Amino acid sequence: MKKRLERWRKALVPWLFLTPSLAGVAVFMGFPFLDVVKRSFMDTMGNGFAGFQNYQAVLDNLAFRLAAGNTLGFLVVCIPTLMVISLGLALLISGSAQKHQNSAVIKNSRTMLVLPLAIPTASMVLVWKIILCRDGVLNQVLTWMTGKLWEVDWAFSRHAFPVLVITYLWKHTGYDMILWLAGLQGIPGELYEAAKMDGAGSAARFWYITVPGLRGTLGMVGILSVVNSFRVYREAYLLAGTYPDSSIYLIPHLFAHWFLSLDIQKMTAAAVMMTAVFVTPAVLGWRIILRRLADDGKDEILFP
Amino acid sequence: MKKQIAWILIGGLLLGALGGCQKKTEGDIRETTVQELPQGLPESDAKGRYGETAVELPQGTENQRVCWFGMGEGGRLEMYTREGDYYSESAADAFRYVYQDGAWEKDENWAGNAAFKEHGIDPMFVTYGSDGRYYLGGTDKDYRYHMFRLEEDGTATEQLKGAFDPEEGRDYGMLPPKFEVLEDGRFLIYDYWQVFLYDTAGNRLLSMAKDFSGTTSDARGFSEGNEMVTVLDGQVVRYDLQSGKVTEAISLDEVGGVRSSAELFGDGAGGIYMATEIGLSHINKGGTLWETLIDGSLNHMGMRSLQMISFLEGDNQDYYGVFCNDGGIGIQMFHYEYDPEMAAVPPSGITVYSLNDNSTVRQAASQFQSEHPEVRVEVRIGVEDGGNVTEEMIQALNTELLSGKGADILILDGLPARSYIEKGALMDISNLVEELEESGQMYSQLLEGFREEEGSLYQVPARFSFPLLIGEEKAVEAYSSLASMAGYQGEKPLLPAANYENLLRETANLQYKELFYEGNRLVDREQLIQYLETVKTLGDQNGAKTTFSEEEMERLWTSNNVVKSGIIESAIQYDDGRFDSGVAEMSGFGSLCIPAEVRRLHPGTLMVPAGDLYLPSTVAAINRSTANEEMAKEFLRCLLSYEVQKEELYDGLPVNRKAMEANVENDRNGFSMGSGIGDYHIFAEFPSREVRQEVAAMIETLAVPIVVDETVMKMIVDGSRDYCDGKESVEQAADKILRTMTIYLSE
Repeated sequence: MKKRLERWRKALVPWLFLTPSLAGVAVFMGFPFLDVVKRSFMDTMGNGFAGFQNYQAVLDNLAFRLAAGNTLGFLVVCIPTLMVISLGLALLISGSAQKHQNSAVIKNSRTMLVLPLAIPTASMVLVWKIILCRDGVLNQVLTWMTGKLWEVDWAFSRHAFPVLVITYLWKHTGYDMILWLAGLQGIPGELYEAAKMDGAGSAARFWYITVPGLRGTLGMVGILSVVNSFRVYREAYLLAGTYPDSSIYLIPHLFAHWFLSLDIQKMTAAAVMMTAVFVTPAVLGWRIILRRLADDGKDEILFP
Repeated sequence: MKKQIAWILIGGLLLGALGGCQKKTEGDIRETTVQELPQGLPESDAKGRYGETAVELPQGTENQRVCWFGMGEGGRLEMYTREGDYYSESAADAFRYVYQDGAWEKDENWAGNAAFKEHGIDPMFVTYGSDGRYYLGGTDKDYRYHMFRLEEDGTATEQLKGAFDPEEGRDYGMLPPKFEVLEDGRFLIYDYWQVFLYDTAGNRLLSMAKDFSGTTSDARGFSEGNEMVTVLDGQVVRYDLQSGKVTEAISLDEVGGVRSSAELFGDGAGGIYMATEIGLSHINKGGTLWETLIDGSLNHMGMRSLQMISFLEGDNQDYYGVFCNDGGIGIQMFHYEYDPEMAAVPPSGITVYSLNDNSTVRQAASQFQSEHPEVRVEVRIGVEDGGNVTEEMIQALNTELLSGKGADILILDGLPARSYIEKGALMDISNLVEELEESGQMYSQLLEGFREEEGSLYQVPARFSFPLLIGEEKAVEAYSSLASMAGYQGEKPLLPAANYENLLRETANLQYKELFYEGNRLVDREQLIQYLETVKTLGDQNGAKTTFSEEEMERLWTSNNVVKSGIIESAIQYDDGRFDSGVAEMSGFGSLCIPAEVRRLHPGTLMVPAGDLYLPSTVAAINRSTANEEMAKEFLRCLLSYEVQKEELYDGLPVNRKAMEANVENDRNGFSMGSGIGDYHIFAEFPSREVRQEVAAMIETLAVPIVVDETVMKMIVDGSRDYCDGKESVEQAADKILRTMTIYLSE
């Protein structure tokens, strides 16, 4: 009897701690999302069952295809680039920090790289506009350098996509670098020393010690980078308005327009599909990470 | 065990979700509507409210103006009026009416009119002083103000002689909108920015600052005992008439801030009343809170077509308000009495939503409430105080519509009407419109312009305007198509210079049928190129630019502002001989003054509508989810009724034929308009009856509403800027526009 009570207590305690969080998630995300799922099968005003018509309409929609393609393209270009650059910077700073402890340059460079994250988006975009407009700083510099007149509207032409990518990288590189640095600090220094003693070179040490050691961090950085990439709409909207160049027309643009035109049925169907597309790999990825941690005997970090 | 607990929690969440997301049944909705408020709530039980009743005015006052309304000798209500317009060359007749036993009587023996005549004074003001004497005020033939005391023998003695004469170096003297006489015979003279205290010998004792509302009739203030109350720095202030110092300042934030048409008066115990379009408010002496006694939104106080002239307290905690129509005539009087049996708050109500404040809607709301005291009409405005419409406002409205809780009536100006119709958010009101059309009172073709192909009708305009073309025959004919506009070969450019955005918008409106009618034809690249080239050709001829400098604006009589209606008023440019034609927006007979005068000055000039096009406004619809369908329909009837439509509110022409006929018959003598730039000047009287009839007849030919998609227009404006500036080819501009337009149209 006592043992059974003890088992109940052990089983209940974690759930009790989780209850406030679960309630918040349920009220602010779970229930509304269930309503979204329901609405995706109804007509706009919620008066009639529409079956899969809304899903079909979304899949047939040219604007959705363009927006989904652009969003996916943005992810494919940005996420690996961001991860590689931020990891490179993290390795550079980590290595330099070991060599030159208490160096002011190292400390300041960390701050400098994280600073873009602290700057309000609206202020940042204002500066970008000054640089990128037809009469902006960039065109003037290029004109001065090349000797011919540059009048490119960087934010409202085909160049808008690289501009948005650079904006995203500039803002989030520092943040990802901090995550990588945290991951690097978790790798025991003895491993590198032992490998060095055994004659392993820099590349071998990176490949056989650093990369395996950062597997857990990799998943975390990946998921957070993807989540942050969805927020790039703010920059795109403030930089180029509601209807930007087609190369940076993203899913949030389309959703905003659908909401304005009361196309709630398309919006909900698209939201359900997008959730399925993005959440499923994230959940699967997370499970794989957990399994690998468990295999490596590091699951106690998460579940002590 | 963990699994069991998890399943229990998941089950709970699902049950909660299904319950929470469940759509309310029809019965549920009814329970929460204003028509059936839950019993037992204080607002449904509370009784007692000021009711409003119209007071019949004596015959002959229809074309008179009020000089004064107040308590005269013996505490009787008195009203003084005058014939005709102010500032006429000869002195007009003045009249005295006394309110006795619930009816007005004209005082045929009043000596005041003879006194005015004797001194050659045009009557402007009459008052009963606290010293128990009557006083008269008015202007002489030189437009100088004089004040007289009416003696018991009927003669008039001039007071404060010379006090109103112009100060040195000024052409005009003081023209006080009002004066008061204190118990000891001293005078309080209300000027625009100051109130002066004079003694009986004519010496100025004090100057007390007050706010000026901008209208010459601003006379906000009153005196009581040795104090004077007025408005200063947006607050109600109390002056001590001995020292001239402010002794108390009372904030007006609670009562919606300062109003130019506020009437201030005392309660006899130091308290202050303030009557405005919002209602009647009161504050006790030394108090800090305003108490609202009468809600102006429930009666004529809030009616847009009425201007409050005077408001005062009766003998039995009742109140009287005197109003006039636009132009100072059409006096109306109302009596406000407390009715302990009337529900404190109307037991039912409807809501009207409009993105921008709309005078016709406000007028209809007041009219509807005066006809239905049991119904409250709540007018919700998206953009308060002239701000900009934002996407968030439309999104907030959409959220309400989707949850079935939106306003009963929607004014669709600026809203995505087409989307609302396609998504089934609006009610089919074809039966209602047909009923109105059958009455024969409406311009049916204007309403029919909104009928859908399948026969249903979801929206109706309550106002409209239309473009008028002014010029010789050859120039006017050039407006028949894009090609003829572009190919116009005249002595001068066809159209006056404007910034390219205005030129793009105006051309799109004038060639609406070629570009947008029955579908957006600008998705066709060739058509889009032709449109852009036409605008560029016109712009090259007249000197258009995307942005003008100060010097250019002065030289070309233009500006960088975007004209909201898309019709650039350009009759004066045509009159000046710079261009072969001009365009005007006919939105009321006031706006017709200058175009009609320009035509008169140029024999052979035509003034014709631009085909059968009209610009609809105040487009009303009923929310399909409304629980007050009948009341909402009744409101639409009211909105389109003769009573509402006949009022000139400067927001468009009436769609009610009978109201238009009444407007045609309305000779607004004294209404004139002038315009001038540099050495050019034009002065125009109100259009003659013949011209008004001619223009009213044009309405019969209008049938196609101009409804240009603002998103498409914005894309064209943005995408063509470089082309208009000569920085890229028309093909590049067209492709750029089509890229974004294709996305928009495929959404």
